[in-house]
Amino acid sequence: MRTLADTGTTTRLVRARQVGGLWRLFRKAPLIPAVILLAVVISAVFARFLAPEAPTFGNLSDAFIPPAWVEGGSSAHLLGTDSLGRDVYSRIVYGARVSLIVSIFAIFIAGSIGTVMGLASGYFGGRVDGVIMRLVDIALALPTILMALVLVAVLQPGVATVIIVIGCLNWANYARQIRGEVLSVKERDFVILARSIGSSPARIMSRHILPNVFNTIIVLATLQVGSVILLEATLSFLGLGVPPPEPSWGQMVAEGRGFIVVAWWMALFPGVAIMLTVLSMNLMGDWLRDLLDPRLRQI
Amino acid sequence: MRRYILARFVQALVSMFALSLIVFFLARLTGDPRDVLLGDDYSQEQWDKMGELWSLDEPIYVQYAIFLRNASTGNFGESIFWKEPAVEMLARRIPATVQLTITALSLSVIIAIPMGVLSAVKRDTWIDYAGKTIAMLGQSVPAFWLGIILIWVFAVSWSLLPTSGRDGPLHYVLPSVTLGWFTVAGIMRITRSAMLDVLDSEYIKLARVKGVPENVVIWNHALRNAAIPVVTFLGLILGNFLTGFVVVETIFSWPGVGLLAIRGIQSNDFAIIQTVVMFGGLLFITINFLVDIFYGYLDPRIRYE
Repeated sequence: MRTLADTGTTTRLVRARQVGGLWRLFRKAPLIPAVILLAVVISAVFARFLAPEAPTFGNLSDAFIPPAWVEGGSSAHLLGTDSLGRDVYSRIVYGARVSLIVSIFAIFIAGSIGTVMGLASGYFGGRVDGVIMRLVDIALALPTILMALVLVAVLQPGVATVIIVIGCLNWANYARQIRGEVLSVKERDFVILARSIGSSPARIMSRHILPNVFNTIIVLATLQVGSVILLEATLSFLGLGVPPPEPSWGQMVAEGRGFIVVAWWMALFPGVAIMLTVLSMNLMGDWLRDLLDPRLRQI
Repeated sequence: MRRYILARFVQALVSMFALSLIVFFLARLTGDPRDVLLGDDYSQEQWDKMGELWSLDEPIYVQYAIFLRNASTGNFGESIFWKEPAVEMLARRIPATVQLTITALSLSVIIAIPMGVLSAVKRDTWIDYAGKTIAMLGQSVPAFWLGIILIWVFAVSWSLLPTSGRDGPLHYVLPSVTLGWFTVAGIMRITRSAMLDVLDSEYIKLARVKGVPENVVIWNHALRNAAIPVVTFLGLILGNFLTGFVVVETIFSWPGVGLLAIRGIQSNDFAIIQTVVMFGGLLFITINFLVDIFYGYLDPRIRYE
């Protein structure tokens, strides 16, 4: 009796301590980055309701209106207007959509290719492993921006091209990391058991191994969002990404470049949007990594 | 060691081979490569000449062999826009890019290494936090935007520095800062963690016990040993400068290789693009190879991987 009661107390204590631990972790979640990211997501989803004007609507008589708080500014255009009289704030709100769509799809492509390659490489080993790891070495040895140059020169520029370029250039890290995880997971009892009752490799990989490496995939993906947004912005800035008039933050900075003397707000605000989003995403990624998979810290 | 070098060399060759395959097939993916190579405006004579140069009547593997043979002699065809061999145009632009690299890299080393050392020595003080903040910003501020803001502040508003071009020492300041900014963060982080490792070791404690002045312990004993990962990292950064060149040279109209690549894209000049890509790739792969060798030389454990 006494033993049972003791066990009960201990369990409760342990549970309390675990809950306390979780609470401590969540309390450490970076609040400001979370709020900024939420704002970006809301902007992207509800752009139509949040933006006072259509992103491609411009009236030349309204060109170069400065931000509302600057002399000559108008409350109708919070962050001013660009050289074609388009509302900068509206374009930034819609630009969030491009950044999010590109990063979500590109990371999905990169993550899927990388996961399949990593699973196969780690699980089958031997020759399969050798070939896939050589492919990884090659993919990591090719300079991203140069590959993007070639691909864009051949394909038509557009959102889809940017997604394909970024997706196909970033899978190697996933493959390498997941392979390492698979190597240890496949020696665990439940995998050996599954194999001994005759489960197929495909089933073992998808049912037994994949759930155990899922944390790694999520952490890698979150850590990558920031750099993918930056890459998309850079490609669009160079004219290799999203073509006008569709608003993208990088392309807005590029358009503002020529007018920096007369209309500094055209280049300044989209850049701030990129910086805040990437910074927040990196901070959230660090936090999530420490929470889910601290071993990845060396990356 | 010899086996290790050989293995890495083969790997570098395979990467280079893969790059050539990608460039070769991408140009042919969309149909007749002349559609890409000649752009929109060409004569029948140019069309035939190009077909002869690349032997487009031959089977595809023969074409690839010819492509490789031409490539090995640096022949990537003539620029459609400038009517000049692409490789000569590239060669002319290399000095400007190299000079920019040297100034940018020196600048970031001069700033980042002392900052990394101080961050490690004054751990968890405001200096460390300032260092961490700079490192974090370095990863999130887009280089192209920073360059434009620097032009706006220092060249336009205060008229202290030139906006673009390459006519004197002052012209190097803004492009170097923009290109170096991104690397400062990386070098600083590596220096800090390497210093933290070293400062914890026995010989540093011994030096302190012996009564060696703290300054000498940090800047001489510790930094010298922390330099190994930092130097390796510098090699890798050099490879990553490729993206930086394209961006920075575009913003500051710097007459280097990166600007050539962008001009090539804008005028749909595939001869230029494939030349820049093949040479950039060769450089990148060579640097990675040298870094690997250097690393294997420093750390014997890697050789037996």
